[in-house]
Amino acid sequence: MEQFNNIEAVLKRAIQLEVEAMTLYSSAAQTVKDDAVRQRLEEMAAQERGHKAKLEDVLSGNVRWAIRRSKAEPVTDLRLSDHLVGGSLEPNADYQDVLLFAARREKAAHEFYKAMGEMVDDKLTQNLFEMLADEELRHKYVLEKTYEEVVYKDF
Amino acid sequence: MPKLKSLDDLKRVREEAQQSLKTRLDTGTTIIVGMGTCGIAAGARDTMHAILTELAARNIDAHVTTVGCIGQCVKEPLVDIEQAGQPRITYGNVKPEMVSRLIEEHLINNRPIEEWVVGRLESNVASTNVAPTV
Amino acid sequence: MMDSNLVFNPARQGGAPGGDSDRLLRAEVLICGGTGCHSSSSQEVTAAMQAEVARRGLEGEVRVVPTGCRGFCSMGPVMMIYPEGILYCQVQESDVPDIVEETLLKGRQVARLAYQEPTQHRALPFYHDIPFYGKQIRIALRNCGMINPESIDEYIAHEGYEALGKVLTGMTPEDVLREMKDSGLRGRGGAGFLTGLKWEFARRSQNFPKYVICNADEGDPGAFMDRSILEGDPHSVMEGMTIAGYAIGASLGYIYCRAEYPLAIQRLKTAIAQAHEYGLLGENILGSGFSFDLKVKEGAGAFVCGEETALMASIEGKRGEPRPRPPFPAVAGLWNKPSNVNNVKSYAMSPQIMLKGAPWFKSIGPEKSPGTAIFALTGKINNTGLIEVPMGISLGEIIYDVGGGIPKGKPFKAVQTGGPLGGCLPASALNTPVDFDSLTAAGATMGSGGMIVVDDDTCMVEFAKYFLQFATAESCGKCVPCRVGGMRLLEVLTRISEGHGTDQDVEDIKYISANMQSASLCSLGQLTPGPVMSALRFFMDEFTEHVHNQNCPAGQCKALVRAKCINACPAGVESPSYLALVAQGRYAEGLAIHRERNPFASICGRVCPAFCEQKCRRGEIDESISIRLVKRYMADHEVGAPWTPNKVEADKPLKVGVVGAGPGGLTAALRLAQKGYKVTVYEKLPIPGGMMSVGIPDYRLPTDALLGEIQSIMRAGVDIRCNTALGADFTLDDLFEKEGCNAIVLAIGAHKSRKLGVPGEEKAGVLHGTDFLREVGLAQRGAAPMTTMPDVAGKKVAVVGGGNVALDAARTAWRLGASEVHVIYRRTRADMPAYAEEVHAAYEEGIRFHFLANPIEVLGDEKVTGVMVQRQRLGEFDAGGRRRPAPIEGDTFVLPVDVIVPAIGQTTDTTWMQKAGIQSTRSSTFVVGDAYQTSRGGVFACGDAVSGPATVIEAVAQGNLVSVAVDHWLKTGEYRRPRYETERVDVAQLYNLDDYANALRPHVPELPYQDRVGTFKEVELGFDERTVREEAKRCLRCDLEWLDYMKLPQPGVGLVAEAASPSGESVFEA
Repeated sequence: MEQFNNIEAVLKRAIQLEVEAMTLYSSAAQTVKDDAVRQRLEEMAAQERGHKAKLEDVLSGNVRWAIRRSKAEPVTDLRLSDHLVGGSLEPNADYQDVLLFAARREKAAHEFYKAMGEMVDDKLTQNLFEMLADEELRHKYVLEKTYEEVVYKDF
Repeated sequence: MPKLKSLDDLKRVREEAQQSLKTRLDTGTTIIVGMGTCGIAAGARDTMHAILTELAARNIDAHVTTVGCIGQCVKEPLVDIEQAGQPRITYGNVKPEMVSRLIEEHLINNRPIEEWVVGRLESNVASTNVAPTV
Repeated sequence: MMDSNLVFNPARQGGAPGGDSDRLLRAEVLICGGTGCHSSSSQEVTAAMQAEVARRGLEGEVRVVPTGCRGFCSMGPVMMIYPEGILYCQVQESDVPDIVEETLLKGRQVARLAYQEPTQHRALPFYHDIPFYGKQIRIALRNCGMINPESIDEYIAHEGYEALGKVLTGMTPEDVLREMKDSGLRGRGGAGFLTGLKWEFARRSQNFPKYVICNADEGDPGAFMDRSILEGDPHSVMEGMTIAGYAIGASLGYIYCRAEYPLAIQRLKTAIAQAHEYGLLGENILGSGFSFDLKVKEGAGAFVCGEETALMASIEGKRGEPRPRPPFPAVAGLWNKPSNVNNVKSYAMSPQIMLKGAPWFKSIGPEKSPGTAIFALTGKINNTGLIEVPMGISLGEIIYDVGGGIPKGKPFKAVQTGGPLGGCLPASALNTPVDFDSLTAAGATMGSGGMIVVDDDTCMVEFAKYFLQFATAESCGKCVPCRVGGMRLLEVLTRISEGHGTDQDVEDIKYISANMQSASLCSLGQLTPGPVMSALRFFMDEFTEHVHNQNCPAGQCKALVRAKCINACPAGVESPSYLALVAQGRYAEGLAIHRERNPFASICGRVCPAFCEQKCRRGEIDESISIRLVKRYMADHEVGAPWTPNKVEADKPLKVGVVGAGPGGLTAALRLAQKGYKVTVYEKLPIPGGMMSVGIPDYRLPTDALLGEIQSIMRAGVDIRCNTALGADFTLDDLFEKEGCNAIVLAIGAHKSRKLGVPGEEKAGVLHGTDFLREVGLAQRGAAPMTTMPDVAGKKVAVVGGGNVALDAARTAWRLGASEVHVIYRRTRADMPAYAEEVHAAYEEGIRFHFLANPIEVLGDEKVTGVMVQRQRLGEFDAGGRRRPAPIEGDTFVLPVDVIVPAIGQTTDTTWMQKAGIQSTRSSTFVVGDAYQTSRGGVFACGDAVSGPATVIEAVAQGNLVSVAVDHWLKTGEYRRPRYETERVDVAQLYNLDDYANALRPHVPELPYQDRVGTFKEVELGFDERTVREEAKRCLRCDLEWLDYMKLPQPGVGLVAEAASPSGESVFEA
């Protein structure tokens, strides 16, 4: 069970997770056969880089302000991929595979932060975890929306 | 009609008007015909004429009045029937040739013609203080 | 129910005992003695009634009469009591004492015996349960349709003038201003300026006299919100203006009402006179010391007078021309005195705000746009009319819930808000909340409240042109940007709608618009470009179609649309021409015309969704022409030698390789062969045809109809090599290098079925839809042993999906002997992409549908035993304008099944591509340029592999086009956007269309249910010759009208008489 001593530790862990995702996507982009999939993976890698930068800003800036701003933004959960399994980044992966992989990853991250938030006592840290959980849900929303447009076009 | 010189005068006129409306609704029959431009364009004048003719022919004593456009223009001519103690029922697309059956079945036999009904208002309009929000 | 012959008439001669016909009877009791009632003991009832009447001494007053059958047998024994006309049902002996006591003596009904009409009062919907009304909050419209507008007493009875009383006797002008400001009411004329603030500016001006002005000019076409309020509740506006007068310090108000509203003007004048009588207008109102009067000024037919400075000029007697602001009317307005100009709706809401208070008003709607908004819903919408809804409600809710959706279930295309100076929004904006700021951010405006909805029969170019014509006609002419800019914009749009537009024209629109928006003197000029700019923003594709392809997809721009059916057909097949030829019995010539654009007449005569029929103009009158079935007859009755396509150009030494023998590939191959190229088609499966062979089952498309037309293409010199797969057997490089191809067309379709992605999908018993159909198709077309067909006999099958593949799989499974067939679909029946006839037939065949149902798990060990399904409910709108399903937590059910057939969608297989392969899209289709070229030189693509899963006719259309592109590239090395052109053939009309004015579309004979069980016999049986030839004559010949419009000559007659039928006999009886 991971332990976090302070805000800084939390944010550093979150940044690490973004880095992990970033390298996962950018290396997969180099091995997939489908061109559209490759492009999407590169976009996703870039997005993860952006998330990392955002978190680094929070780390060096005003955490409370970031939390307050996040609370003001809407967050929707389409719950489209919650029951789905699979998804992959293998060379033969198609667009559906990649979207599913990424969406499930965001969900896992969301649940991780949510669980963390329920375990800590400190109010500020709690709020920070909530903010991180909401962010992941927003990422999931974007992926699920695309999944809906592409995969569920006729369904 | 004497001028209203104070708030009390206004209040008195209001109460009288509400009372007379209530009496009419509690004891008599009112037929209301939509007479905005949309209603007129859809033929409400002919429908009104048919209603008056039919009532006269059957010697039925009912108060017939007109109102403006309630907004459901696609269903004009709209005709409401309000009988003592019954909710007010709105009929849509009422053509003159439908009038005699309407009066026969709804007014006389107290059986609304379901396939022509648009809806019913839940409370007796004039007997409440607050104007209905529909 | 009431038989007028039996109406009680005391003077009637009757057979009363004792002969006292002069005496008034208390009642007549008629008891039905017909067979029905007799068998349920009406005789006993009659006897009991007579006995009871005697016992109570009523013999002289009550006559009991047994009658014949009244017809209401199921409710017998039936008893009618006159004169009241009371009907009692199922009366028994034991009921008689009650009837005599209660009804005859006390005049009361016995409720339990009364006829219970199935439709009682309580079954009728309450207004608040009807979505049209239920979602409304009526503030400005509170009295409209409720009170008599010509009775001030009724207005007063409904809280009328109570606000004025409260204001005059208990509030200072400053109190009023504060209340108005706190309420947050923003002007409902469209600009959305804070009303309270506007009043305050007028109050602050120390210059007298001041004026209150009501803008009731309402010039927007399709807007009638203000008119309805003035006609339905004029006092509310007057009360609001009086309150405003008190607040700002004015004693005179003008209502500027357009002269085109005579009823509104008359009702206003009546209302003003009545208010005067009661002293609610004039001197010393309600003893408060405040005096106020109102005048009505009629407008004179100029839209620009809706602009406040032009309006005031008009009141002053001058020509309606705007002037620059500042100074604003609140400082110097009418006759240079401080004036407050507000819209009718703003004044109508004010009394309620005063009465109920600012917090109440502010609680409705979003913070920055509180209160309600009034909209006039018009256009392609079911509930046309007027509504008042809380701000913040979404566009989709207004259009679908309150408005009742689009008529005939057609898809929503766009909604124009804000009138001719507003903007249009597409389906992707349906979630936009309706308030001042959100609408502006989305690219439209709130405006005064007009909302015009359009469907796919409206051309956005034409739509924008319509508003532009209006705005330019109404320009006052004072400033150059509006006067000149508007006309230039109109010229450009007209050119585009006539097919003479260029890319530069589109740029010019943007340039002129930008100038008009920034430099016009008033908002008429500034906002005139609104509609066309929003149309460009959201419907650019449509503009490009007009400019590049001279095509109007909606079928509205007359110059570009020879006939709506030709326009709607993706391949532009000339239906009116071949219909006319069929009418004359000239099938071969009709077929020739058809084949110029689509070689698959017999196939499409069976399987085409017939976009032509959906747009057929005859369909606007009664029913569209049954074009597809006429085509089918024409194709099935080809006499003489089967078709050998003609050569159009001389043979060439160049070779084209087509990968895939589906409709797209075969059409491309055919056209190229006709142009003299050597063509080889490389087909992966054992038989050609693509989805036509292995996607459409026999009962829709019999094998001989299918193979016959493919053979014709082979006769054109096209070499088809089956069992040859891209990737497994050869690569693209091989085609260029080893096969000597100079160009390649990839037409590999979309055969790869999408995975469901649910746990358990890998179990035995999961067979994807396309695989399922392919196995059946190959066996039935003779390319594989029958034993390879899927084994579903006696099993329970669940198909997942709602498209044609799903429906075909379901109906095929049923024919193969499945004991139960279910279709599970995530959305609703209305959203299913499958053809309506297929769904209907599936219901007939006993297939069960589960809507708003999504499978979440496949159950079983190694083999499937069932599927867990989660119910869905519909939520917000997605980008395509459909309501998105969302899972209902905890609401699941298990469907026990043995076989699951996923058919949720298909993609193109791209696994054969090398890493640096051909560019594809996220739907796995190929990225192509204007000339259908892929990212690899010399490699083109067409069909489902480009569009995604579509129809045969769309693939054919692309096949035609790609062949032109390939030909041009081979000849010049240039990639150029292709146009597939054929010679226009006009056929004369030899009959009088008026004779067919009342002719109706015939029903299609179909195989009866019992003949379908367990067989793959064709279900649709088609028409006979006479029916077909008569049906063809219902055609309105829009193509001949178009000739007149374009000032082209009508076709010569040519033929002397109608040809006899192929059998030699006359088609018509002597």
